[in-house]
Amino acid sequence: MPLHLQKRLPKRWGEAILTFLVGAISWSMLVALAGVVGFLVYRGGKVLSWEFLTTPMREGMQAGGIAPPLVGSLWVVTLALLVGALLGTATGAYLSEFSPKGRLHRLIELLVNTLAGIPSVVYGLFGLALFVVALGWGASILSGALTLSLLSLPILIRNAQEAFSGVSPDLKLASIGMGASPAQTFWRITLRLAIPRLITGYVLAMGRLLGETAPILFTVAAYYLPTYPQSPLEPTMMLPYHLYALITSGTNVARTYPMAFGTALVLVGITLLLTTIAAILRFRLKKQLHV
Amino acid sequence: MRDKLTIGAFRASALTIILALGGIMLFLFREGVPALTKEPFEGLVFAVHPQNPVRRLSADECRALFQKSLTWSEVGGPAVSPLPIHLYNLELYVGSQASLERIRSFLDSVAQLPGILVALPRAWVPASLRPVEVRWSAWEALFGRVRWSPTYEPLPEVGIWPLLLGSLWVTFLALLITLPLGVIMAIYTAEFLPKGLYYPMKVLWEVVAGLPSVVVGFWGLVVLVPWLQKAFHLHTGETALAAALLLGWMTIPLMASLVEEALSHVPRLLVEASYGLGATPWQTILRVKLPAIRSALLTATLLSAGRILGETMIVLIVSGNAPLLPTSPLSPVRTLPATLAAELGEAPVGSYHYHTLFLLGLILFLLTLALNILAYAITPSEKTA
Repeated sequence: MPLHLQKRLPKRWGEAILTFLVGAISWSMLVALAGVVGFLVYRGGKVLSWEFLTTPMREGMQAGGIAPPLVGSLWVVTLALLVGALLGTATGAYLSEFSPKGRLHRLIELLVNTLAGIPSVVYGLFGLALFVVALGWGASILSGALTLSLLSLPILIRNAQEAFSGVSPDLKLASIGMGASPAQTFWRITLRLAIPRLITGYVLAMGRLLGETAPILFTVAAYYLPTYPQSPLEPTMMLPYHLYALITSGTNVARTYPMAFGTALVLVGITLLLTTIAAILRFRLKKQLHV
Repeated sequence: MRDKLTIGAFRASALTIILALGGIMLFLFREGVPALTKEPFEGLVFAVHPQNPVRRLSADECRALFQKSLTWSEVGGPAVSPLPIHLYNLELYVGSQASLERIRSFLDSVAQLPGILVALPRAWVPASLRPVEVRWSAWEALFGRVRWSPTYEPLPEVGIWPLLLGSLWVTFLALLITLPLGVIMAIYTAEFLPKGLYYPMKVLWEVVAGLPSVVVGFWGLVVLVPWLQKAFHLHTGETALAAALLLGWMTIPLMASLVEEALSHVPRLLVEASYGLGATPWQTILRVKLPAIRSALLTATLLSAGRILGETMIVLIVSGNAPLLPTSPLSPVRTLPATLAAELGEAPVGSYHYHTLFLLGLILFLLTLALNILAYAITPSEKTA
């Protein structure tokens, strides 16, 4: 291993202490995360039950379960992911495999970076102005899902780019060399080999989208609607907004807070599960790439 | 044929990105700009008693008269106290014809009083009253005032400084946490972390960055806010500091991973030269590596600032939401995104309030855009260096 890549341990006392401190600070991140999640498990675990997950809320929001927001969240996020994955993967494929590396390529990459930097609440504003008002879809699953799919595009495009460019060029060249057209090479070789990484990206994006609150506030989320959506043009409750409503409605904190802790635990549980799986998968795949 | 179809479809989807960003900008401008060109009291007529010599009022004077914090004599009127009446959408809220008639006769009778000041739809202004001109300057109202009270009728107060400065204040405080801790974690991860723990650390970062902000905000409200209240003996722990602590913490992973990546790309020549001269690992880090990634540090800071600036839910939940100019880390603040999230749901589509909120969104968008463009403009110089 080259010298500059070796991890060198400090030999002086002062430096050793400094290193220890820096390490302690770094791992305190884990402590803090455990603190947040542990607290939610401790407080939310008490209300968590099969019934909590599968029944609608009752008595305002002070009793019962969280099935409608749970189902609503899954609906919206799944729909958003379908649209986002289709557009994102195709765009990623274009950028990574087909586009001439010219001005247009640079422009699109710049725009993707720009989109990634836009605050999520601004996406919510756009969704409100376009889908809800201008197109007249109202606050509905469709409006919310399309808003979220826009939000997910930068993550999904970058992920697809990485996935496709991660496929060994030897294989692509071999395919071209055997007379396959670029499109054939893409469909038969590149896409198939990129699938694990693509799926990782979808899982990661799903985790992110499930936790998003600001973009759904005005485009889809209903404050109190203990039924299940029948069509994509209906509004629905969603988990993050339900949690926010529970925190802030505050007419009877002694009864709404336990519900809030349960909701927070479910939300954090699902997103943590998805992000952790995706992150682990991703780093596994990255390791393989470097071998 | 199939090739053309595939590539054509992919190109089309790439072009939707241009469409998406264009659409976002178009709609922010379309809905935000009317806040600069329209008047909040569109469709209303202001009128006074015919013997009242006042012909013109500034928006501030008129509002003060409505709030009775100003008397007529102070604006050159009669020595009576103002008697403001503001009604609108009467047909919408009053059902029966008889009630409408009663309101009309009531208005006709109060029109005799010398202190009268009405803001009414044209058709409802009693014929005996004389209209006054109320001058509204959107720029002055938005950028020259420091009070945010956008639902006050008929003359809202839409000074955006409390919100803008609130946003900048919280971002600044949060960066004080993100910047040092992010750099420290990046140094540790790049330089000292045992190899087997590298990926677990990266997973930890991903997980923290992926926590739903509404959950972090809730945790802050239940744990951090009461703690701050006790520690600093405050009336409420819902302060800029609470928001900054949580935001700063959540943004550490972004900062750390950007810096860590830059650290791992420091040219080996520099590092080996440093070790060759007998420098210790820490001397190399502090005197060679960190100076070498100066511009990457700036980029990472700008990107983190952009992320913090746009965060909505945490601030909405823990910062107290008082639209006041921030004076200390312990004052409650309200930020641009939090204002959007809190008020847009209640602003009727197309109302002045609605347009004002879109203008705030436009300002937020332009701020983050500027930060991002700046960040990417700095980056390439790193690679050529």
